[in-house]
Amino acid sequence: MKNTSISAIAIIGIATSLTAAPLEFDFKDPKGVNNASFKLDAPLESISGSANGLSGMVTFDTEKPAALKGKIVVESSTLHVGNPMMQGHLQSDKWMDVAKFPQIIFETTSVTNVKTEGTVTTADVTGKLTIKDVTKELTVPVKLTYLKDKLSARFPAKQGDLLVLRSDFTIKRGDFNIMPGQMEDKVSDTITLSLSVAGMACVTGK
Amino acid sequence: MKQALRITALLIALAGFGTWLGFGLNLGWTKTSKTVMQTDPVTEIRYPTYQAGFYPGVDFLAVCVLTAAGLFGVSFTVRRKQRVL
Repeated sequence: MKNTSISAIAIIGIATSLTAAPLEFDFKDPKGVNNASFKLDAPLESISGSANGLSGMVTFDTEKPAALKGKIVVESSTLHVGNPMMQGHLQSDKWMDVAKFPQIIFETTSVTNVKTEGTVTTADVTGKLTIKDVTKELTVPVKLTYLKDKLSARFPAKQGDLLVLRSDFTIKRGDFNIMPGQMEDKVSDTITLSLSVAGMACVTGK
Repeated sequence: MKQALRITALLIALAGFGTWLGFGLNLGWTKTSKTVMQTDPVTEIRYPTYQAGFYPGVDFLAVCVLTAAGLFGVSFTVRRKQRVL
């Protein structure tokens, strides 16, 4: 009886320490749902497109959401627009130069203004955004939704949690050496970006 | 020859306008894929999927109209064959 009680206390202790530990979420999505969309104003029609080659790792602790840190990477070659001529221009050396700069990277540095309500956490995340080898620090609003034990709903063979990360923000293309000061009458300097990604944290031994 | 050029011009203009109209009066640029938004049932993330196809825009219409206008213009430069008596 005494041994059973000790074992029970030990199991509860281990379980508690496991729950409290920060989880590492992998944002590589085999389903191709994760996406970053972009929009630029233009005279005839807004230029809008998306990229679905996303990956990265984010560490998130439900007990300490302000300790959030991580990196999200977008493969430039997956940038897509519907018009084939625009697609060619977009990926060419004049615009995104995807051959020379294959990745767009956002890496967190600090988190402020954290508010949690149920499974949803909102925060202002400051990080370093690198596009075409130009790195700028910016602060973006982020909404995180923690879906505990929901990984199996997406991947039946896996057990674990999901973290959905959403963010809408704007940047200036001129700041990142994307045709700075050029063709602004045809393509706006402001780019509206929208990030919707889900990361998974597999739990082994469940 | 003159008549043939004018008929061809009319056919190109009508075909161009008909195609543009038939594909839904797209007031944007011509596209070779259409974005269809879907929602992931678990994460509720909205994500784009692409349907390949030809979706003519105003540039397609403009090319057809300009080609037709060009042919129509050329038809005025064609001289009728003079009948040899």
